[in-house]
Amino acid sequence: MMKTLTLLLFILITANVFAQSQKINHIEIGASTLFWTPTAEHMRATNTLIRAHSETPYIGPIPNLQGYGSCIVPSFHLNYYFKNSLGISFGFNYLSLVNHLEYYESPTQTSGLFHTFHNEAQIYNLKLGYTGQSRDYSIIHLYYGIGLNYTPYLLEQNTTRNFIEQLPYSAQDYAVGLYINSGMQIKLFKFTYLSLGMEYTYIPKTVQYPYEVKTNLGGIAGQVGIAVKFLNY
Amino acid sequence: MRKYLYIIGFMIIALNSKAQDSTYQHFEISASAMYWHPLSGHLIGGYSIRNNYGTKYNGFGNTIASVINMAYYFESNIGLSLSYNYIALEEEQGATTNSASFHNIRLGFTARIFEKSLFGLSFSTGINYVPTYSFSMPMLFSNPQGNILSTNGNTFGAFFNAGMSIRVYKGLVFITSFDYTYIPVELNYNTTIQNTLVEQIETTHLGGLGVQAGLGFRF
Repeated sequence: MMKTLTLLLFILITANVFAQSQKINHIEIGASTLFWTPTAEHMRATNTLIRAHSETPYIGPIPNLQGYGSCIVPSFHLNYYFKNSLGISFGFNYLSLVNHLEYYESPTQTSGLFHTFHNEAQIYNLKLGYTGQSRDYSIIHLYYGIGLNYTPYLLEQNTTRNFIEQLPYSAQDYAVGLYINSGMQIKLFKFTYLSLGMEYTYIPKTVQYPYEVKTNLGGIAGQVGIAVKFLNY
Repeated sequence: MRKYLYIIGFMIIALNSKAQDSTYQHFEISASAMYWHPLSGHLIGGYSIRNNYGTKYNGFGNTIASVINMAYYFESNIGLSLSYNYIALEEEQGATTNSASFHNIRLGFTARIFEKSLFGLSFSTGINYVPTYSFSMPMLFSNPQGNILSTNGNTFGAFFNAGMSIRVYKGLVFITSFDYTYIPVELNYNTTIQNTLVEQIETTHLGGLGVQAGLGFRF
């Protein structure tokens, strides 16, 4: 009787240890802040205003505005991990880029003709791809992901001269590209992790304003956020 | 006598266990060279502003900078890092020279895994403080004296760094990493010519991408 009980206890302990070593959290929901910068020349912002403060000889202000700029935006993802710590990932972020310049065409800066240049980009990134995490039982593990990026976008370039809006240039369409990301997750408490990483997106597109521009709507971003993992079995 | 032996035995076991908990290397100091490429239009350049008074070229180019980094790990794989690098840029365009320099002091969190293996991985992020930046370039309406527009100031941003280390010998490691900074800034250049204040305002950022390689020592 004692021998049988001992054997059963040994089997139970071994099975429990084995089961625990196979348990992973299958679902992960995360939110992070993206520090995003474009890599293409057309998207990079230049915003220059040159002025001379003098009545005689007066040289009018010289503006130069191109591109759309960088931004800090929220990003969300939902991952499902299979048994071997590989899984699929759905992600979403919305980039709102604004490059704005205004100036008076006079030496006094408070009177005279008032002009503005305003470039605005709205870029939606919907992501679907593979993701993985290292099977590390310490409080830190590595994550990585690669996949497709579906990107509807709206790019607008507006000019007003003395408060009168000129005909805007705009381009609206969608593009498909690739993303790759990697980083680390640090366990804070039971199901919650601090997530740190970087992401690179490559989204080539010929944008059709009244003129054509071959560009890349992607960029590089640093991520800081929180991930919650659950459904452990 | 037995009681005292038991107490001493218990203390030795407890101390030994505690010592074994802290057998990781707490400190890491490294020095590396970084190839740095700016990401903003104003620093990359490649365009010019032209009017009846002349042509103005923009851009400050790329550079190779030296980086010093110190990290203290309070857990075996989580710690704080303090880093310094100095970026100096100079770009000649015809007869003109655009030059810029800024210091970067970084304070942030660092995390590492597989640090006891031959290959280790690390990630750092935190605040990037630029205590001084200095930019100068010839003004658009250049006269025979060649007036220079200049600006200086300070600003804050964020940094992200992902790296790999290869154990060379005992505490010596070869480190390579990829670096990204995000530092928005408004540069107010100005100069005075015969009682006329000329200013050029650039809304841009000082961030860029860097690739580092160097040596570190853990103790």
